[in-house]
This record gives sequence, structure tokens and C-alpha cells, in this order.
Amino acid sequence: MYSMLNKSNLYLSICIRYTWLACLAMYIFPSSIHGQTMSHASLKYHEFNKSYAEMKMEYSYERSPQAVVQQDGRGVNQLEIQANAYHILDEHSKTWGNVSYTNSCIWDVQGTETSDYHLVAPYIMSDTIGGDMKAERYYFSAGYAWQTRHWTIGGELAYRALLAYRDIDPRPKNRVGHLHANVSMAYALPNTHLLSLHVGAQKYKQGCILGFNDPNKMVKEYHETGLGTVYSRFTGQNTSNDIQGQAYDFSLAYCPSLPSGIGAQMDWETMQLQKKLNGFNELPLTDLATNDYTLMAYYRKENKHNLWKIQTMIHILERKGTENIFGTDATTTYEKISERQYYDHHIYAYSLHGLYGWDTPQRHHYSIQTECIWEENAQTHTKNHNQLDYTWLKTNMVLTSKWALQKSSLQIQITGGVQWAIHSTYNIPRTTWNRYRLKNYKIASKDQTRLSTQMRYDSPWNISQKQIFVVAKYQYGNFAESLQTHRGTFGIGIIL
Amino acid sequence: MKKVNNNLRWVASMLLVCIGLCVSSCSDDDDVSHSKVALALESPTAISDFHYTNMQVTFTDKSTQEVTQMAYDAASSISTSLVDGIYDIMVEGEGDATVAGQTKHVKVRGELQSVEIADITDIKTLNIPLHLLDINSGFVLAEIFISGTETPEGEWYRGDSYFRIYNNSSEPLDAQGLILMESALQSDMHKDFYVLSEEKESEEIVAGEGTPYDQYKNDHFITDAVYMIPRGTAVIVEPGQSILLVDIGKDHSVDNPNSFNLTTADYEWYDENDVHADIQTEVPDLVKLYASSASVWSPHVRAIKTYAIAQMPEDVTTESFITNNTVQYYYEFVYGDLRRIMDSKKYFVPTTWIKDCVNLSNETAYEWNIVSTALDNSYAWVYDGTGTGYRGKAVRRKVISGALLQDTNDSAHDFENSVDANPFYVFHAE
Repeated sequence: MYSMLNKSNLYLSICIRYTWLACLAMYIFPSSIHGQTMSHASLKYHEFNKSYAEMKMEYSYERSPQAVVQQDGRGVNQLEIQANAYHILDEHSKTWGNVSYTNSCIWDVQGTETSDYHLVAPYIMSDTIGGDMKAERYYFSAGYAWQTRHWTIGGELAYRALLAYRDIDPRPKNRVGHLHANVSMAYALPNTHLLSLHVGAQKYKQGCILGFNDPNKMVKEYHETGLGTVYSRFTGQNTSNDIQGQAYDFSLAYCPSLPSGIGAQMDWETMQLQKKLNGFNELPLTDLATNDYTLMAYYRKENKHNLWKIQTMIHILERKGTENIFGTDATTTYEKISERQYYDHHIYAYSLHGLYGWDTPQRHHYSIQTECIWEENAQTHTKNHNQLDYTWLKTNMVLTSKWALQKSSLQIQITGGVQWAIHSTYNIPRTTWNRYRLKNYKIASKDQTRLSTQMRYDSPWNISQKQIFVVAKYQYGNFAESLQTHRGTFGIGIIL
Repeated sequence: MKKVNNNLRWVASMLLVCIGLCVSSCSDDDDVSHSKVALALESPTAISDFHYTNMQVTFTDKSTQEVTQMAYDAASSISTSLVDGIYDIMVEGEGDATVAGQTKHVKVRGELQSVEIADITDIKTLNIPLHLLDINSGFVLAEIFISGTETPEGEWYRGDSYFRIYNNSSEPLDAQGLILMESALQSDMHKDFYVLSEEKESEEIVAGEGTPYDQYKNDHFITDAVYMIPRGTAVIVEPGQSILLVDIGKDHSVDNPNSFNLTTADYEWYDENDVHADIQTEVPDLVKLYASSASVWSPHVRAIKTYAIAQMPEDVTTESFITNNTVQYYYEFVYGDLRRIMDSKKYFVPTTWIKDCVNLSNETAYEWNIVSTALDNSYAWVYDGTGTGYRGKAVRRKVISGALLQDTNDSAHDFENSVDANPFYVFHAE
């Protein structure tokens, strides 16, 4: 059983890696917050059967006349340096790690002065000015797993730090710290499957301080409460606030340890975030509770020359927001007297994926992936019956080919996708500071097309026993309002 | 086949567990909590047999600024259900009443500020005292400019503040003995103030003793600066005409082309002191009764205080005012376990003396009304909280028609906000 498990690990690792590489382009459309399954440290043990280490540097540039999502800006000028390693320590233990540093300038961010918009919305701070944002992101992660007769036990620790700021008024300065720790245990079942349980915890904190160097340029800062509403009582110059909270995630995975078989995984993540105003003795202004569920099932069949896989996934995201109400300010301390749960956001997504890949005798690899996603995304603020909802049908296709040349390899990947806007509703009052929301709606409520081409060339480096690679990627988007986006990425790397 | 059945059984089990988790972890939608309140109106003591014909109640949610309005019905009270929160409640109306033995049509107003409405199991009754809205057509503050101007180099220029007092009646009025006052309290700093009936040392004050300020302000105005137009010589102001009270009566345009020539002002406030020399000009001085500043007095440049003009009775002298009109008030500062009594000693003026009163505040900082709603229901503003737009800006009373300026004791409606200051603005053709 043990030796069979070791042999099956080889198949499992090839399969996972092959599928993982092919699935890099699976989610061509930005997923709604998550939409992907959790990674188990115990299963990562089986991911590769030999050590590797890789360093790369990538430069990306995009500058569009208009943003697709105002809060994400209309382009980026970004440099990323990344190192990945996977090391087999001995016959029963492995370790891995990832370090990255990203320095970017995001053009013309509107509608938020708070970072991690998609995570903390709608309880953000915003104004009518906005502007370019500079950001530095640091990411560290490390994992370790070891295998016994029947068990594989692993753990991972990851930390993300973000510093985002602007050099002209209004001048936000946001510091984010996000820590994630998890452990998982996988048991080798008699039927050549692995059953893995993952438990994780997260700690999140974002400190936001916004200032003005020139009094002539002071503007009001709004503490938004969702869909065109603001917490009027504290609108003005209350520009220092913290968002902090914690999350817990659980996952159960059932996957084959042989090349073919049925697999399934279910994930649940629950997160609570609270926004506090520092100028009022850390007044707890709002609370945001998020529950994220994912259920995936697949069947995979693989032999020596080809692989095919069919997968279905259900993703449910529920977010509920609560505004805390405080009493008279005459006593210096604001006592909480009530709370109002007005904000609701839910996402229901159903997807079907298909993958077929094959090898040729010349060791060339080809694959075709298709994906179809039905997504319903709805937000409501029950106070004034404000409403924003979309229903999309997204379809993607990814063609991947990898040619093994004499000592090098060339990989080309072409991805195309269409998002059809089936239904949309916009019921939000229009105000001067709220105009960015209508801009987002005008784009999201219409059909859109995206194309991407990526090429990677790996070659041995004559100077040492290393391998170098270059990557070039071009992404094109076609949206409503005659908006077209172009993004180029170029990178070089070395495999140690 | 058996292996496939086992696999399917595992997948089906996980599906069921997942669905169960989703269902069990989905919380019921929580209803937003509501509470029922009832209003009981107390008629003004100066009138009797009040029969109102038109009464409106306005609830303003302080968290969202959402306004709920309803008519006061013919019964003696009104009840409604409100979302739990903190509210400002305003009642305004009119009707017939007996005033000094005669039937008159009067206007009344009453308010409660920062009322906590939450966790009320039955129904909460709120008593609102109404005040007679005495819209007098005598002297009014027509224009207030106190924020300074800006030099062409972008520097802040001070010393050119002014108050323009206007005769809004149809008869000539004598301005001698008229006093100009600045409030001691600020509209952007709401505290739980109490007023003591007799002076005490700070250490002897017990938190909670005295008259709550919300009651005290109905009949009194606490001031930290009192300047009077000299008595002894009549200062006749014709209908539609005005007098100008300034800080320094010189030609400021020499030093700052964006400022004014105030050499033709009627009076200036002058502070003789040993700390900081004030500038003496040819403009006649006001009589200084009191100013909290040990050196020179300047109106609060952020325009977040209240200004009033009052007529001191003839039998009140400056000496008796200083002796008899002192007041001590306090609030308790609380921060965690730290509690401390913060008291001040100033002067008060009975509201019956007041001819006109104007609340000033900052659009983004307004917290409370520091005077009775009968004196001023709202506030005018120079500064909206953005940029330095307050420099060179004033508040100016609106013209109804001809020489008549609007005066409903509601500054939000009576004044044009943040206008270019002009001490010689022409309100009407001669």
C-alpha cells in the first residue's frame, strides 16, 4: 500500500502540476473574491516529485482611457520579483516557500481611498478626487509536510503586507497586514484516494490615514455604508480609521491518488471585519460578516499519453453589513445604542469545466480547456431599497501547447472569453460623489470580451547548470462604452 | 463497480455535509430594530388657549441625515415608529392664542436634540417645550464677517472683521446701549453642560448638580465678549439703514488690496490692555463690558460660535451687569476611568434682551444648537470644511423685498452662506 502510494504520488504530482499549469488561465475573468478551491498543505506534499527553485522578475504595463472598475484604476505600471522553491528534505518530508515583492503605480483610482477594496467594501472611505496610487506589496509563505504510513500532515504560514499611498492631496496612507496559518491532514484511504481536512485562521488589519498638505485642497471624506449611502454623522474630516478582523477556513478534500478517479472538495471560509474611527476613541463604526462556500466535484482520467477531466463547481458568497448607531456625543464617549443590518451582498456561481490534454511521441504537450460559468451577483441596501445586481454567463477557452525542443521548450497559450450580461439592475440615487458607481455599472452591465496570449521560452543557461526562461504576455479587453484595454507583461526568470 | 460506488458514496456524503453547512450557517435576516415614540407638546408660558392650525414635526436621523416629516394631528399627542438611532426632533407651527389678554396669531417652535431612541419596549413619550417665535422687525445682524481675508500672496490677513447691524423696521430706531455679544460655547463642541445656581470652587462641584444647559439656554445666553454702543447720545438709524461695527477702523486695503477701507465705520471694539497693544483709530470705540481674552478680542475665525445683539435695559449699568450677570457652568470630562469637572465662569444675558441672534457653524462640524430654537433654529456657515474658502467670506441676510430683510429666526433660510464679504453691500436701492 505504501509503495503503491509512492508510485501513485508520481501520477498524482504530474497530474496536479499539469492541470495546475493549464488551470492558470482557467479564470480569465476576475473571480468574485474567491471562486477557487483552497490549497491543502497535506496535498501539496504530493504536488511535485523533485525539488525545484525558481526566481523571476515581471514587468506589466497597462494604461486605458477609462477603468473597467473605477476602484481598480485604469491601468498599472508594475514590477514584481518572485521566488518559489519546493524542496524534498528526505524520503518523508518536503518543504516549500514563496517570496514576492511588487512595486506598482495604479493609475487613477476612483471611488475608494481604502485598499483591498473588494475585500472590505462597502465600508470604505472615499472622496470626489481620488488619483494615482503607489503600492508596495510584500508576500512571504512557507509550508512543511511529512508523510507517515497512512497520513500526510502539513502546515503553511503566509503573510501579506501592503503599503499604499499617494504623493498629492488627498494623501491616503494605508498599511495592510494579513496573516494566514493553516494545517491539514490527509489520510490514504484503502480505495486509492486521499481524504484531507484543512483548518486555517487569518488575522487582518488595515490602517488608513488620510491627510492634506495644502488646506486649499481639503475635501470631505465619506464613510460609505453601501450602494450610495454614507454615515453622514461622521462625514467630513474624520480621516483616520482602521479595519481589522479575523477569518477561519475549513476544507475537506477527497481526491484520487491514482491517475484516474473521482474527486471532490468543499470549502468554507468565514470572515468578520470591523471598521473603527480612530479620532473617536476607536469607535466601531461598521461590521462586515462574510461566508464563502465552494463545492467542487470532478472526474479525471489519465493515461500515458492523454488526460481528460470534467469538473463542476458551486460557489456561494454571502456578505452582510451592519452599521452601529451611537448615542449623544455630549459625554465625550459615544455609546453604542443600536445597530442596523442594512447591507447584503450575495454571489451564486455555477461552473462547468472541461479539459483535454495529450502528448505526442515528440514529447510535445497540447491541451484544450473550456469553461462555462453562470454567476448571479446581487447587492442591496434595505434602507432605501437601493439595489445593484448582475447576472452573467461567462465562457472561456484556453489552448495550450508546449513544444519540447532540443534542450529548450516553448509554451504558447491562447485564451479567449466572452461574458454575456444576461440581466442587470441599478437602483442607486445619483450624487456628485457617487458618480463612479454608475461608471462601473455601465461597463459591467454590458457584454465584454477578453483575449490573452502568453508565450514562455525555457532554455538551459550555458554558464551554469541552470535554466532560464522568458515570458511575454498580452491581454486585450473589449468592453461597453467603446472601451478597449491593452496590457503587456514581460518577464525573465531562472530555474535553479 | 464496487470501487465506483464507494467513490460516489464519498462524493455524495460530502455534498450532503456541504449543503447542511450552508443551510445551518445561513443566518436569518435580522429585522432592523424600531421603537415607538410619542410627543407631548408644552405650550409657551407666555400664551394661553393655544389652538394650532398647522403643526409639523421633523425627525432627523443624525447618523444618516435622513428626515422624516409628519403633521401633528388634532389629538394632544403624536406617536410614530422610528428606526433605532439618535435623532434631532423639531416641531414648528402656528395658531391662535391669547397673548396678554388679546387673541393673536402666533408662531411657535420647539426642539429636542440628540435624542436616543433605542431598545424601547413599550412607547417613549418625549416632552417638547414650545417657544413663542417672536419675529421682531427691529435691529438685525445683516452681515457678519469674521474669518479674515487673503493677501495676493496667499497669506491670511486679520483685523478687518465686521458686524453690520441693520434697521429692519419701518421706524427710526436708537442704537445707543445696543450690545454685541459672542457666545461662550461652540456649535462644534457638544457637551453635557450644567449651570450652577451659585459659584463654587471646581473641586466642590459634583457631577450632575445644577440646571442642565438644554433648559438653561431657553432663557439665557452665555457670552464671552460683550461690547456696547455708548449711551448718552442718540444713535438714530433710519429704516433700511445700518451701522458698522469693526475690529480695527483703518484702511486695510493699504496693507492688503483684498481687504476693505473701514475708516468710515461707525464703531470699533478696542481693548486697552498690558499684554498686547490694540490699534486705536479715529473710529469711535465701543464700550467694553467684558471679553474673556486678556489681550485683544477677535471673533472666532472658524465661525463656529453664535453672535447676538441685545438691548440692555436702561436701569442696568455696566457695573451692575458685571456684578449681577456672572454665571458658572461645567461639564464632566470622561476618558476611560479618568473623570474631571471642567468649569468656566462667564456672563449671561437674558434672552428677553436679545434683538437678534445668528448661529454660525461649519457644515462638516456642526453638532448642536447652543441657543434656544426660538432665537435661531439652525445656522449659517462660512466654511464648508473644504479648502481655505472661508477667507474673505461672510454670511449675509437675504432681502425679501425693498428694504426688508428676511428674519424668521432660522439662519439656514435667512442667510446667504459664504458670500464675498462687502461691508458696504447695497441691500436695496435708496
